Amino acid sequence: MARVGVFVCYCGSNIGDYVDVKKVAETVSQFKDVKVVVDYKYMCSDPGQGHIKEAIVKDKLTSIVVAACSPRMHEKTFRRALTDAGLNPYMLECANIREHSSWVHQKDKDAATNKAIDLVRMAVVKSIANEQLHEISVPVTKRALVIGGGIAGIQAALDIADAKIPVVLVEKSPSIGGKMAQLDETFPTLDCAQCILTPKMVDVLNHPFIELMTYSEVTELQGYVGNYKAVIKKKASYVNFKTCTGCGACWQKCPVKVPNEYNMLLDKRKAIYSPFPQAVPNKPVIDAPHCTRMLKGPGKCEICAKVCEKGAVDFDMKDEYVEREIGAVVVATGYQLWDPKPYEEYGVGRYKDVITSLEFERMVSSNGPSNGVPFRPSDGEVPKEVVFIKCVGSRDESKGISYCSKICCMYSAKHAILLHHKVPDSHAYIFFMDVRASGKGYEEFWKRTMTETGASYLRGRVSKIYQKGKKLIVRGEDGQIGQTVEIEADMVVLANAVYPQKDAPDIARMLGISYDKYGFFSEAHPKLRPVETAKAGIYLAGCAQAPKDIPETVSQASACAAKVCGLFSGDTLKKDPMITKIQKEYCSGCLNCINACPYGAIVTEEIPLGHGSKEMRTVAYINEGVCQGCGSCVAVCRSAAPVLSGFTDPQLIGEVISA
Amino acid sequence: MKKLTYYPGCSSHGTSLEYDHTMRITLKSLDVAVQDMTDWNCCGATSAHVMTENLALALPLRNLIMAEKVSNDPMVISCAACYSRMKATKIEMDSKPDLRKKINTTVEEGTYMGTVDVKSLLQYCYEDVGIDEIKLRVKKPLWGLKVACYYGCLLTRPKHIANFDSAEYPMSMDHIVEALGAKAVDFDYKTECCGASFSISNTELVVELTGKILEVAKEAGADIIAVACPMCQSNLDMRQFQIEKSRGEKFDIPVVYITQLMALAFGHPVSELKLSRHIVPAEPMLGKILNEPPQEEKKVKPVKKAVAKTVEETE
Amino acid sequence: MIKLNNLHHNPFLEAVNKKSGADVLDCYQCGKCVATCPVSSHMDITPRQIMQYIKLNQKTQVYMANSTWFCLTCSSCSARCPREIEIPSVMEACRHLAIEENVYPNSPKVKEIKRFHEIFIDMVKKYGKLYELRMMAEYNIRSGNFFKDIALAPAALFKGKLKLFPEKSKNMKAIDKMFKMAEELDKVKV
Repeated sequence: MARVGVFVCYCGSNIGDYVDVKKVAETVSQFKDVKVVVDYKYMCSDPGQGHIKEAIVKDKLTSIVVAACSPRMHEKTFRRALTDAGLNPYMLECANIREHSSWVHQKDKDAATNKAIDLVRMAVVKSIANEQLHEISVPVTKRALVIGGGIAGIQAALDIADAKIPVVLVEKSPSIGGKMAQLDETFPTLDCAQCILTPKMVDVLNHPFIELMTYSEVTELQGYVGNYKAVIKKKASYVNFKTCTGCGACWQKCPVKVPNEYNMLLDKRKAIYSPFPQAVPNKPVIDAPHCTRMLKGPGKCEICAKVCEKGAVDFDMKDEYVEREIGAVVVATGYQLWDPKPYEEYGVGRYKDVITSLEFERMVSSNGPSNGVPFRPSDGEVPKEVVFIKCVGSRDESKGISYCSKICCMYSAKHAILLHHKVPDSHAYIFFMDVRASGKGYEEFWKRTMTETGASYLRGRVSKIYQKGKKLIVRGEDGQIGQTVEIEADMVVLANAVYPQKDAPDIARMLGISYDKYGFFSEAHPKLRPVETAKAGIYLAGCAQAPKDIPETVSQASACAAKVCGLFSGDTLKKDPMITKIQKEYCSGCLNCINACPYGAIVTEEIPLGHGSKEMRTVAYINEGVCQGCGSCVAVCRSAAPVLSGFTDPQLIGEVISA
Repeated sequence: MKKLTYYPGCSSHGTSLEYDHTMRITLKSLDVAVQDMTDWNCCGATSAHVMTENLALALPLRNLIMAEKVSNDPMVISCAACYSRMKATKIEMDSKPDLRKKINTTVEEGTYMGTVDVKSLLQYCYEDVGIDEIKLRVKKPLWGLKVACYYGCLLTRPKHIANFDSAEYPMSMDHIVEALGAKAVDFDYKTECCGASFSISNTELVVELTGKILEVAKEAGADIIAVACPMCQSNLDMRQFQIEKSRGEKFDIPVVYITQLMALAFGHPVSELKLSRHIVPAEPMLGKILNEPPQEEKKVKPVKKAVAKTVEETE
Repeated sequence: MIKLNNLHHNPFLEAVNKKSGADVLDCYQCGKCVATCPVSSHMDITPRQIMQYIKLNQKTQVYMANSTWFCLTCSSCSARCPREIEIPSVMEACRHLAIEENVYPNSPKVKEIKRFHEIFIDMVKKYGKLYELRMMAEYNIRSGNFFKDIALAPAALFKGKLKLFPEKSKNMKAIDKMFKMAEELDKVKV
C-alpha cells in the first residue's frame, strides 16, 4: 500500500511568483495514494527538510515527491533527509517545477500552474514504482599512474607518493622534465628553471613510492575506477641502466651527429645521448633510427660499447611490455608549440632568422647551443634589433585557433629582459594586440620589462616580413599613433601558439576520455570540476587540458593528487546504484549494446544455452564499476534485456500514462 | 583536344595585343582549341563596382551568358581584373537565386544557367594543361634567364573567389617559368599591389607602389618580370621611365607576359612575340638566354664557426 | 569630441553589415589590415579606424574620409585578417551608402578618382567596350590637366597600344537596355 508524501516549495519567489503553489498543493492532495502534502517557502532549508523527516516518521510514508528546483541542485540533500528519517533514499522523486515550469513560463500563470500539477502527478506515479536501491561497493587498487613526466606529472607524482601511495610515473622521452627543462629563466621571478626543477626531478628518482619509467609509453588502459590495468611499453634503450654510471664516455666518442630536439634543432647531439646535462635518469639511450650499428648490423661501429668500462651497452635489448594494476590515472602529457608555417607572410621556413619562441629560449639558455648568447641562424652573428611578434596562431581564426595561449605575453616580456641582459646594446620591438598579465606579480613584471629594457611595445599586428640583404624588413602597425611602421630587424621571434600534442587524440582514445576540437582533453566541468574527466578515476593536470603557466600547472597537479588521495581514502568505492543490468534470459547475444556504450562498460560472458545444458552461448554483461547509467544500451537493445534501475520501463511508462 | 571559351577583355586588342596574340599561338602549341565569343562587353573592371552595385553585376553576367551560348567548356580570361569580376559575379549568381533573377532581367540575350567554369589563363595553364604538358613542348629552354614572377592582386585573391594557389606566396607561375628552363627568383613582392586602376586618376600612387615592386625585383636579381595581367604589365612597363625619373635610379627591367615566354620556349619565331610593343625594350632579354644549362651555384655552408667566435668574444 | 549613446541602436552598422555580407563586430582592432594596406598611409582614416567608426555609428566621418575612395580593392587586407572579415566589401558598402546619400569628401584627389570612374562607365555605356583613347582624352579635358601623360602618347600610339578608333559591342541595343535597367535598380544615375 503506497503512502506518498508531496512537498511543494515556493523557492522564495522563484516558483511562488509564477506558479500558484497553494493550488498545486490542494490539487495534489486529491491524488490517489497521496497521504501528506506540505507547502513551504524553502524546502532545502533545515526546517524544510525537517518537515520531510517528520512526515516520513509520523505518517509512515513509503515514497517522497519534492516539487522544487532541478534535482541537479538538491537531490543529494533530500536523499540524505530520507536516509536520516530511515527511508531508502532512492524512494525520492524530484519534480522540477522551477526550471521546467516557473522559470520558462513566466508570462502565463495558469499554464505554469497546470504544468506543475502535471509534473507532480507524474512524479507521484513514478515514486510509487521506485525500488529500494543500495549503493554499490567496488574494490580499489591503491596505486596511481601518472602519464607524462613534465612539471605537472612530477608534482602530481610527488604529492601522491608523499601520501605513501605508490605511483608509477611514465615518460616517453629519455628524461623527465618536459618543456620546463627547456626554459632558461621563468616569469615573474626570473628563477632559473633548471635550478627549481632539478631538485624535484631528483626527488622523483629517489622517492621510495615512485616507480619511474622513462623512455616508456602507456599502450593500453583497461578497467574502471579503482580497478584499472595499464600496459606499459618500455622502449629498448640499448643501455643497461643498472650497470651504466652515466660517465658520458659513450656519447663523447659516438661519431654520428643528429639534429638536437632539446635545442630545437639548432645544434646536434649524438646517436647515443642523454638529452641534457641535468637529465633524470642521467643514463643515455640509443636513438636506433640514427645509430650505425642498429641500421647496418653487428660489427658496424659499436664504438660506444667499446669505450664503455661497465659494458652497459646491449645491442640485443628488446622493447619490454609490463603490466601494472592501477586505481587512478593522472594525465599530464603536456603540449607542443604550433608550427607557424601557415603564416606565409612571415616567411616561416624561408627565412632562417625568423624563429619561434622556444628556439629563442634555447639560445638564451646557458645549457643551450650558444652558451646563452642569442645568434642569427643564418650567419651566427649576434642580433641587435630583435622583433617579437605575439599571437602567432593564437586568437587567429583564419589559422583555425580561436583561443589565447595565455603564457606568451609574459614570456615575451621575459624574452625582452633576457635579450637586454645578454646583449646590452640590443633593442626589443614587441608587436602585440593585448598584454595579458593577470597572475600574481605579473603586471609588475611587465612594468619592469618596459622600464628596465625600454622595449618598444607596438600595438598592432605585423603584416609582412621580407628579406633585404642581411636584414629582415618587418612591416606592422602602431595603432596608438595610427601609423604603419617598418623595422629593419636582425631577427624575428614568433610567439607561436600552445597546442595539444600530436598524439593527444590517440591518447584520449586509449584512455576513453574526450577531447575538444583542438585536442585538449575535456574536463568534467570547466568551473567546478577542472581536474576531473567524465571518466571516473582519470584526472588531468597541466597544459594537456588547456594552456596555462607553471604556477597553475603545479596547482592543478596537486589538486589531482588530492583527488587521488580522496579516491583511495577508503578500502572500497561507493557507486550510484542507478546503473543497468542485463536480464540474461532476454539477451540474444547480438552485442549491439557494446557498440552503443560510450564507457566500454559492457563485456561478454558465456552462460549455458538452456537450463542445465552443456552448450554455452554468449550474452552481454555490464561491469557494475564502469556503468554510468546513461541508458544507451537500453535504447538500442531490441530484446529489452537491459534494465536501468531508477528508470525502468514500468516507471517511465507509468509517468507517461499519468501525464 | 582541350577546348576553352576565350573572353578577351577590352585591352586585348589595344594595350595588351601581344598578350592576346602569344596566348593564341601558345595554346595552339599546347593542343588547346580557343573558341571565341560571338559578342562580349566590358566587364566593368574596377569602375563599375566602385560606383554601382547592380550594373557591376549586370555587365559580367552578360558575358557569362554569352559564354554559355558557345559551349560548356571553361571560360578562360587572360586579364586578371576581368577574371576577378567574372568569377565574383558567377559566385554571387550561383549562391543567391533572388539576386540572379533580378540581375538577369537586365540581360535580354538569355538566362544564366551556371554551366560554365570561370578560370584565369594562368590557372588554366597550371591546372587544366599542367606542367608536364608544358615541359613536353619546350624546344628552346630559356636557360640562364632570371625571372621575377609577378602575380599582382587578383589572380590569387580574394581567397574565396580565386580559390587558386597561395594568396601570400603563390608558385604556379614560378613552376611554369622553371618548366620553361628559366630560373624563377625568390621574389618577396610577387603579390603586392601595383596601384591598379589608379594609373590615370592617382598616378603618384602608382609610381610609388609600382616603384617598390621594381626595386624588390631588382634586388632579387631579376632580368625580367613575368606577368599574367594587362593592368600589371601596363603599370610596370609604361610607367617605368616615369618611376626611374622620380626615384633617380635605373631599372631597365623588361616586363613580359608569361605567354610570350612560353611562345619563345616553344620555339616560335621572335617576331611572333611582338616584343617591339613594349615600352621598356624587351629584346635585351633574348641576349641573356644561354645555350646550355647554367652551372649549379655552390651552396654556402651555414656558419657554425661564427657562433663560437662570438661566444669567445663575449667570454 | 564625439558623443556616444544609445548604441544598442546602430543603423549604420546594420546597413554596412547587410550590404557587405560581413560582420563588422568581428573586428578586434588588431591593425593587421592597416599594416598590409598599400595605401593606408594616404588615407584620412585607416581601415581599422573605419571598423571602429562603424561600431560607434559615426557614418559622416566615414563618408567624408577619402579612405573608401583610395581603397584599391586589392584584397591584401582580407587575405591576412585573422577574423577573416571581407574588408574590401565593407569599404565598398560604405562607399555605396555614401553615394546613395550623395555625400562625398571634399578632397580634390577623390574628385579626380570619381571623375575617372564616371568617364570609364560612360565609355562602356557608349561603346560596350572601353575606348581607351577617348577615355584618357576626356579625363584630361575634364580634369583640366590637358597634358597629362602626353609623353606617353607617341609611344603608345605608334606601338599600337592605343587604338585610334573604337571597337563597339555587336549588340548595342542590349547594352543600352542593360544600362537603363541597371540604372533603375541602382539609385545612382550613371
